Amino acid sequence: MPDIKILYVEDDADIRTLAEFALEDEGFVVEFCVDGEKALHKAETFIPDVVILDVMMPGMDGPTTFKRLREMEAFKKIPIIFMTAKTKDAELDDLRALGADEIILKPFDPMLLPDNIRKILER
Amino acid sequence: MSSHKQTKAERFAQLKQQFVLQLADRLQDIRTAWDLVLKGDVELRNRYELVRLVHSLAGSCGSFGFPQLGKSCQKLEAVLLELNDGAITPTIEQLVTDFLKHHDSLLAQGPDIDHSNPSYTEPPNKREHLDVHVFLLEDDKLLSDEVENQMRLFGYRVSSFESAEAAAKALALATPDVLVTDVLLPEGELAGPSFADKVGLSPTVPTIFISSRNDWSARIAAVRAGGSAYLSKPLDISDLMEQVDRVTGRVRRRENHILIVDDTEILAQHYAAVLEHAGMKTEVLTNPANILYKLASFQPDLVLLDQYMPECNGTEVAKVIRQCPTYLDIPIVYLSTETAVRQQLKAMEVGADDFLEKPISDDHLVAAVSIRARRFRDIKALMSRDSLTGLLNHISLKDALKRSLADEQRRGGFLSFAMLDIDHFKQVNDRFGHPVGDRVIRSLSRLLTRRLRVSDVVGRYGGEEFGVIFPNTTPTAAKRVLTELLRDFGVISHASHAEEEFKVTFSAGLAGSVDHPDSEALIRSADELLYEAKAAGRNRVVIKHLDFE
Repeated sequence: MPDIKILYVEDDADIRTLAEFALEDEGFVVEFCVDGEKALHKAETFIPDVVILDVMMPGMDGPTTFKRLREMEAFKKIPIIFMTAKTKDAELDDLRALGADEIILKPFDPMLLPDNIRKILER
Repeated sequence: MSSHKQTKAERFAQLKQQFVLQLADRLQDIRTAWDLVLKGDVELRNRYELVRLVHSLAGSCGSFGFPQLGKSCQKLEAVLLELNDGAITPTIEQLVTDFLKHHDSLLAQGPDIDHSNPSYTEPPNKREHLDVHVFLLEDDKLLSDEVENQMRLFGYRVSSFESAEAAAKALALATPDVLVTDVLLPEGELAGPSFADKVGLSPTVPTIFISSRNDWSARIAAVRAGGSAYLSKPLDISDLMEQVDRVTGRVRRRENHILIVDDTEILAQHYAAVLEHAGMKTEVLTNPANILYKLASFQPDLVLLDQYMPECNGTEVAKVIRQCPTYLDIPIVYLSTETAVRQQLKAMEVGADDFLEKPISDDHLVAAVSIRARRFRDIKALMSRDSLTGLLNHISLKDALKRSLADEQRRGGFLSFAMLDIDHFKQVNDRFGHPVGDRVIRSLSRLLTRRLRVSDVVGRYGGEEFGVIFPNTTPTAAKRVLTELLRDFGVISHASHAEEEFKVTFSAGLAGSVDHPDSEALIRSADELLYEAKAAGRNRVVIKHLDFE
């Protein structure tokens, strides 16, 4: 099976370390970006199988990055997963309404992340 | 492969350690930022910095083994965000001070994560209906319309025909899952059975006869035409649906789940292939260290365990499994080259159910595994299911919710929980008697199980009260689904013995796991909202009011 390519946008260094650890040796190729602008830049040359987007980031936030990515032809149909530490059920509805393919809440168990992503892609 | 995974677990421990080492510093950073803000420093930059520090901890603490700290960071962040550029009230000041004080002591205790939580749900999947297509041959248009309308509400597809000729034409184009036919048709007194006999659908497509004739010759004709059921008129549509479910086997039943634990991948895959071929679902685990995760996510009905593995033996793995109360009864079957009876007996002492010797024939393996798995499920079903509806009973529903919740939270997922209650149910019982009341309960149970997703868990919470777990769903989204069901349930006409028709509605309260991360709180909140729905006039689904509404 070919590796699953991920564009991972996350400003928090801890979460990046954790995700890198969780996904290594599990059949993923991960490109990390620390904010929305850098992700959009990366997206011009790197077409992933899935995008993981933190919601709250300094500069361009997750939802804005989401919209900008969706404007790009190559990203029209690529699944985009939001990662958020949001604290209200109602706020998840906003992300769903925006068109999020999936939402992963923080905190998450890093050991379960690879399976989680694979299952989301299978759907 | 297994040794590599082991290192991964060790490396995770290292990562956690590193995180712990700098936690104290980060709490100190928060303290410093807070002091700056407190000193009347109105610069928003400092406030933003404070929020950023707290936000970062809120997101990562839980993953590194400090869920409690993570939760209070989330709460603190919410408070600080409200603050914006407003004044700092004594309450907020107290809150932050408490937070910092409390967490110095919490930090000293070390990580508090619990990895032993078993889970229940399968991953949320697509909306998945059990599609059942019914051909209905009935010349009484009034009756066939009624059947069609009622059954459609429950998600059945019904095509009706007034004559055998029309039905025959349709059969040339499509094959239904079940044929329901009247015995007496314009074509003759026993036209139904002779039609069924002629098209020869049975036994692949079961046939159900309905008739006002209750005599021997009609019944024997139906039997000879391969009829699977015979219902007399006046037709009770819920009886018909029960028979349709029975003969089509479309009762929600999953295949046997078998977990194979063997460090030799090739061998494990071979067993998997054999069992899958026999219609079972399997998962292979080559590293026993992940057994608890696997049990939780796969929910096997039986564990097939290799006796000799490099890092630990089968007996030890069995002991770990039996340590969890949830898996006290799960059948464990050893596979081993062990031939010494003494050794075998010793292995079985820790609660193994059988000892299969390698090499084993495929037939033997399938038989040994499927019989035990089925018996386990039968026993489990007897203990955990409600006898009237076949749904999860009160205790198992609460267990299921607890486990789904724990599982979702580890994965970073969420769910909604609904409490439903039939409106004015006492009046139904008083007016029409308990048997009719029971039918109404079964009717709602059928509507819920047939129309909701396979991944949604439905239970009978008590009397006329139901609970539903919606994985990966917000209350708003679940409300849309339930409102649709409410509308359809309200038009179903229930009949009493006196053939007096009546309609029933229900009320529901829905709460989400993000607002209520604890299962007791989730149930309580759904219950309160159900009460609100009742108070507001019943026949409605209520979720928490949004603050800005």
